[in-house]
Amino acid sequence: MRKILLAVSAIVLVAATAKAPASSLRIAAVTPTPGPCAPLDATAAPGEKAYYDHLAKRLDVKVLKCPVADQAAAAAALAAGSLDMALLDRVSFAPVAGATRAILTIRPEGGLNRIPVVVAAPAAGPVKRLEDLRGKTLAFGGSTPAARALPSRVLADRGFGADVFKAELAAADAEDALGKLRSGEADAMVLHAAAWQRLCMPDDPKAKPLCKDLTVLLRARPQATQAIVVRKDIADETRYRLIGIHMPMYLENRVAFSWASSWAPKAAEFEPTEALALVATR
Amino acid sequence: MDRSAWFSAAAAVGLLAVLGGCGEKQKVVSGDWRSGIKEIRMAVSGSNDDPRIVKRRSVYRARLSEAIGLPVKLYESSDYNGVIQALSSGQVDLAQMAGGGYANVDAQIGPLAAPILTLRQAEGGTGYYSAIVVRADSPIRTLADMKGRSLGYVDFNSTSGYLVPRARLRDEGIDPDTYFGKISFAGGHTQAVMALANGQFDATILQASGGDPVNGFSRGALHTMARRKLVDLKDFRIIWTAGPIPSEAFVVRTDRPQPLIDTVRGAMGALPYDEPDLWVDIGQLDGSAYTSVTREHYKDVIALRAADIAQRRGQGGRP
Repeated sequence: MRKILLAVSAIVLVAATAKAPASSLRIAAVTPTPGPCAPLDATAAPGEKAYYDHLAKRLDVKVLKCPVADQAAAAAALAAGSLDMALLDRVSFAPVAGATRAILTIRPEGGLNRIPVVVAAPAAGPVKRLEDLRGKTLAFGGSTPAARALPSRVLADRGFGADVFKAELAAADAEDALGKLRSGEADAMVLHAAAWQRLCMPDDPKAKPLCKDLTVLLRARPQATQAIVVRKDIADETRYRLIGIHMPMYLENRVAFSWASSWAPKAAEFEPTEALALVATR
Repeated sequence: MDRSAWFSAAAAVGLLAVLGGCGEKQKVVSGDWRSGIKEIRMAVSGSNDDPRIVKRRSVYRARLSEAIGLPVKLYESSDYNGVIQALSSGQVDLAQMAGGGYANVDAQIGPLAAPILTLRQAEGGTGYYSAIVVRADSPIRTLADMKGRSLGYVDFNSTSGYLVPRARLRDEGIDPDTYFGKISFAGGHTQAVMALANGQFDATILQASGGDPVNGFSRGALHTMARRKLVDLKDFRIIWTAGPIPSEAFVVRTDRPQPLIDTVRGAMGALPYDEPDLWVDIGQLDGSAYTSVTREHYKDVIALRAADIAQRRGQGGRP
């Protein structure tokens, strides 16, 4: 009995200790020679050293490099709790989506925020879900990147490339797109979320409600191709500080930023993300 | 204590320890920075008339308090200068303020304050506009029609309601001190709209945001008041705009702990992604998000403020 009690006690104490603040941040590094986590060695590239030093100084913890074979191995180690942070792509993230979450991705130079896109159709019409739009005509609310390229990307992320539709009409603006929907020229209207909000959620209570008869088929952000991912059991404070350190890195430490964002072409800045940024949510 | 009792006690201590740890998430940061800090103080200006603004402040306060792990106390000032002086004197740790307000703080304490976040709109812009507004039934159609007429500014410390439009008017060859027949200060955007509606001025200068001069605006004083059913948008007309003006910033005291600043930036930066419905509910435009900035982002406004102050000193200090 005493042995059992001691064993139970030891187990629970170890478990409790595991919840104490950690003294290190363990970051996955894909290399041909996987190994245990360790501080950077003297051969580290200047950018890598700058990044690790930057995080260590701002978090006030040791930052360890954890060599893994590939992103799938990083994902598995992250989910198992032997890593704290890793760069994952869509494929490696999928199996660990329940245990991990995306926190940061990159906005490219001249690129938009990962703004949500809204696809809407008349509620009384035959289009009830995204799949019903195959062979149908869409009206986009303009031709700017936010009005056309980004919504097209959101649809393509979900398997609805341009070839799926009968036609894609570029309306002059959101109001014109609604007109094309009303006139039957288009079967659905595709707007970025701010245009939808301006058109369909007006501030003026005297304004005529324009979209009450529409049903929203999709409201989603573009799917990120890669993102910095942490475990879901990491404390919010840690997540916020990681985000708060990465967001201004392009202004504060260009050497560290260039190295840390080298996986993304033409990186402008780190931007926060929703937990499922790597998933084509519906 | 006999051995049996010791074992039981050890087991109980272990159980308590694990129960205490249950549900607690793993921290990978140092928490020492909070030592000796009882609360975080944040200054905001503006009226409490708009329920959405009141809710926004409440949401920000709650989120920051949860993120920081300390109570966050809001210091609300009815005018711009209250916020400027609270931050400059160190009575508060952070504040939300427009570029003109930050320029004033910068003039007082320099690098002891720094802007850390501003809004980036869905279409990519990080600015808003200043608009000269007249009543829809006014014969005034252009800036040329305003010569000799009365104009209401918002506040001497207002970026869009004073500082920037005066500079842009000068750029267009108009001396704002002599072109208009009479100038007044309304004291706030809401007061400026009401004064215009009541015929106290021929025109007033207001903030306009959530769009641009080509696509129209969806935010700003007129829209806020229309939502509250105080005015009808159709009763007003914009005749001139200036901008874009760098949007409002979260400004922090740089002599506060760096972990506090990083946590504020991260918690606010993640808000539109963590709580997308709430983000819209508090009056933010969907698709907008916070982006990092530094003093450099506001350098033009700082220069305008310095030039305006220098010019007024040349006039004996008259605004």
